[in-house]
Amino acid sequence: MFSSDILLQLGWTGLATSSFYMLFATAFALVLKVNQVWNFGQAGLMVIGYFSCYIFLQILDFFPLWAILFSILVTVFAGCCLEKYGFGVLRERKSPPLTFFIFSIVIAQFFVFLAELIFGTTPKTLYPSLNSKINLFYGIVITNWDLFALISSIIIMSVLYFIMKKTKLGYSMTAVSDNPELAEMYGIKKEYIYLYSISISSFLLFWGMYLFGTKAAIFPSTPLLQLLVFAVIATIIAGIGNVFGAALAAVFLSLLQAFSILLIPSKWQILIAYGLIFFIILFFPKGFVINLEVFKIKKNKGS
Amino acid sequence: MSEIEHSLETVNLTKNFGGKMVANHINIKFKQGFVSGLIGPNGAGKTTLFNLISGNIKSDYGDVYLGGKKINKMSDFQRARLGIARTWQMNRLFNSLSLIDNLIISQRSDYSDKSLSLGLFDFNRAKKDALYEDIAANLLKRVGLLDYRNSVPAELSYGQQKLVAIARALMNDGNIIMLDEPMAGVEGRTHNKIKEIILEEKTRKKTIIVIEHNMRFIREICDEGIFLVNGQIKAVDSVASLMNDVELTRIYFGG
Amino acid sequence: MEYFISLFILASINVILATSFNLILGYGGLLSVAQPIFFAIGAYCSALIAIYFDIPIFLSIIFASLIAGVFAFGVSLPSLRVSGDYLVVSTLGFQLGTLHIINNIEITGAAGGLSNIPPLISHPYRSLLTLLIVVCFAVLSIWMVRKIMRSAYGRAITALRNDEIAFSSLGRNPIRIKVLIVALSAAMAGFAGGIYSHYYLYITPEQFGIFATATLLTMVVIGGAGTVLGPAFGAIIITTLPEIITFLNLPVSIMAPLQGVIFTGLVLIFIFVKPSGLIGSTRGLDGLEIWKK
Repeated sequence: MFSSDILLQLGWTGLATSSFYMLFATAFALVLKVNQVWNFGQAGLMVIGYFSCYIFLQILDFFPLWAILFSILVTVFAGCCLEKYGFGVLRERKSPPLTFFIFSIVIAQFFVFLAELIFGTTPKTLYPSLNSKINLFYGIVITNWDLFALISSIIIMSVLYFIMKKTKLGYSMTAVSDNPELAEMYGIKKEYIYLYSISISSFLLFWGMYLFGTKAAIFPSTPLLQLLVFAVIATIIAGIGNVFGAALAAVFLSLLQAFSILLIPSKWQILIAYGLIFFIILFFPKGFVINLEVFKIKKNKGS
Repeated sequence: MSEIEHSLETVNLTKNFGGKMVANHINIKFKQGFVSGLIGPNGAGKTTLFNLISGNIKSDYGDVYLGGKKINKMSDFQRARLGIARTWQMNRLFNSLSLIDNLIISQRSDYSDKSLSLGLFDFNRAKKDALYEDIAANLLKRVGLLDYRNSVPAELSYGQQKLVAIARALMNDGNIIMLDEPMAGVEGRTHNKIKEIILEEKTRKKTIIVIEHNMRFIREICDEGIFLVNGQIKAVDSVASLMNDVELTRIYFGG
Repeated sequence: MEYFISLFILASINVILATSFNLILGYGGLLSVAQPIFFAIGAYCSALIAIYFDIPIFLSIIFASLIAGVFAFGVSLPSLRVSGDYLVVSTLGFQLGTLHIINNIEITGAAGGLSNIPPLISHPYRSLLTLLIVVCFAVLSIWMVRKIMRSAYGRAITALRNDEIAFSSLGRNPIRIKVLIVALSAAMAGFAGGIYSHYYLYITPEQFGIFATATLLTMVVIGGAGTVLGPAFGAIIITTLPEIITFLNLPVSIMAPLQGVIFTGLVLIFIFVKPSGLIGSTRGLDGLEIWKK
């Protein structure tokens, strides 16, 4: 059948690739949990993060560290604007869930089109050259990118885990996601918490895009057409409200896709992800029903 | 109609919400021609019990029997068609529909369900509606809102909306009527009207279950009280003796 | 002249598409992002049936429309059993998946598109005749949606949109209604797609992607969701308006995203400034407000 070398190599590549998928899924799941919004606008933030970094690096020729820092600021700022002037306004108006959906989908499309208008529809990379030093480890190819991506993502996820489980901010986020009105009564300003969670989410998105952009070229539509769907599926697999579960689900999806190359031609690989949506909805819908109700903000809670 | 045909019973009904037992082995038999009052502090699981009976949520364990038949596998609309009607604390009226339409749509054999043509060839709506329109108009008259038949719910006061919600449940003409806090925020004439309707339905041999915090109302109207705490039945007795129980009163008024 | 006729044919086809979408989005309160894909399924299936089987074109359009309806049924049933929110997710997956398949298989002409589609009408005045037919169908589709919403069935759809839990607890089956209107709406979209492919005679997958979803949302939202004429009005505006900027002679690589930016920008403006849409009444229960509880 397949040699163990190939299997190990696929596993390693899948794991390395999962670094950014993990970040995207966590970002999506976090905003869904805390802000209680299906933030398809995440794809818009990804576009903003990526192309602001592209501008700083390739057009303004900044030193990479500065470029990264500025892009993080831009992305987080964009995320806060999206929350404050988008979702916040709709929440204030008690807009129906459908309006949130339309808004979040359309805002993503808006930024994709804007990026296509400004940067054209050809793929872009963050650095002129994407060559990463190759190391051989017992016959498995491990690039420096792999190591950098995995280690940085794991550090970020650990810090996030610490924030969520051990800090006041983390507790507040959980409290707001459980019951915003009750949290307010305990003196937690929910508007601030929403801003914090979308800021964290924006940072995760930027870093994911940075990792992606140092490995492969990106079309303006890539975040919306490929990366977002992965995050959504991972979130559904894990069950809504389960932020770190979504990260694990993203790793699982990434490995599944990596190994699928043994059985399925690469051009059909993406269909596995789309097919999984139906598989889950068909066979595992029950566990997610109750959680999904979270989105219905005005839902009448029983006594 | 035999007694057994319309009896409602729960056996070991259990539901767990995120680690909290909101219904814990509930065994209760509701009697026909009886008004049962569900009493208990907030969060005792009163509305949850309604939801479990009406099928809005499914139990983890245990059964619901209607007329000796297990109905817990059925969805909410199937149970409603067997004659389980209910109201909600928040009324949940259909805001875009007139009162008369709110009622007509709640007729449990509404013909529109069967229309595979999606109403495209529904050229005699008025004629078909006429069947139910009389019943609906009569109910509106009973609750004293016939003058508002073509108004939408938003044009009514809160108390009037409660009356519409009750009329809508009666439109089902089922034998089980579950009212979730019918008296909350209601006073004066509306209060008496609701009381009157419940007593009328009682004489028609309906099984009536009421969740209510207004103790005076409970005492006036309920034949028995069911005291719930933390998803468990603490006591079933006449309302008078429940209220004389020091222990229960302490729990209820937050000891 | 020919140019204007062609433009109005497109506008009328979009009227059918927007009206069909309004049935589920505006009236049903259900967001399916895959409506352009049902249009695409109609367009491709009808074209392929006409190419490979010797049957009248009109029949192939009908078949294709049925196929679109069946697909919609299959896609929506599992997710609607769970919740309306899942419909967004599953239709998103369906749209991207189907586009990917169309883009990669031989029979649909892959990314290059499908050409040599037999025309619906071969006649010197074929454009004018097509226009007449498609205008009739556009009017028919508007009439259909109006008729449905005024029937007892429409009353049920309205009640369902207002409060699904109350609706089902009163003995109505919500899933049945939702799945049926999604399927009908997809069949209407598929029909419009069939007419499209047999008039323009060339279709490519990129016509049915996110740009199409954005355009369709724009039509319905700026026209006024949940109004009978709003989406039709929106469709005519959104189809004809961009023609003004075509005179600027911008290259396609700029035109397409520019339109996208304008359309999505318009939707964003309407969401915050005039949620009731152009046709919606000011009472505040039309357009995006229609879903308020």
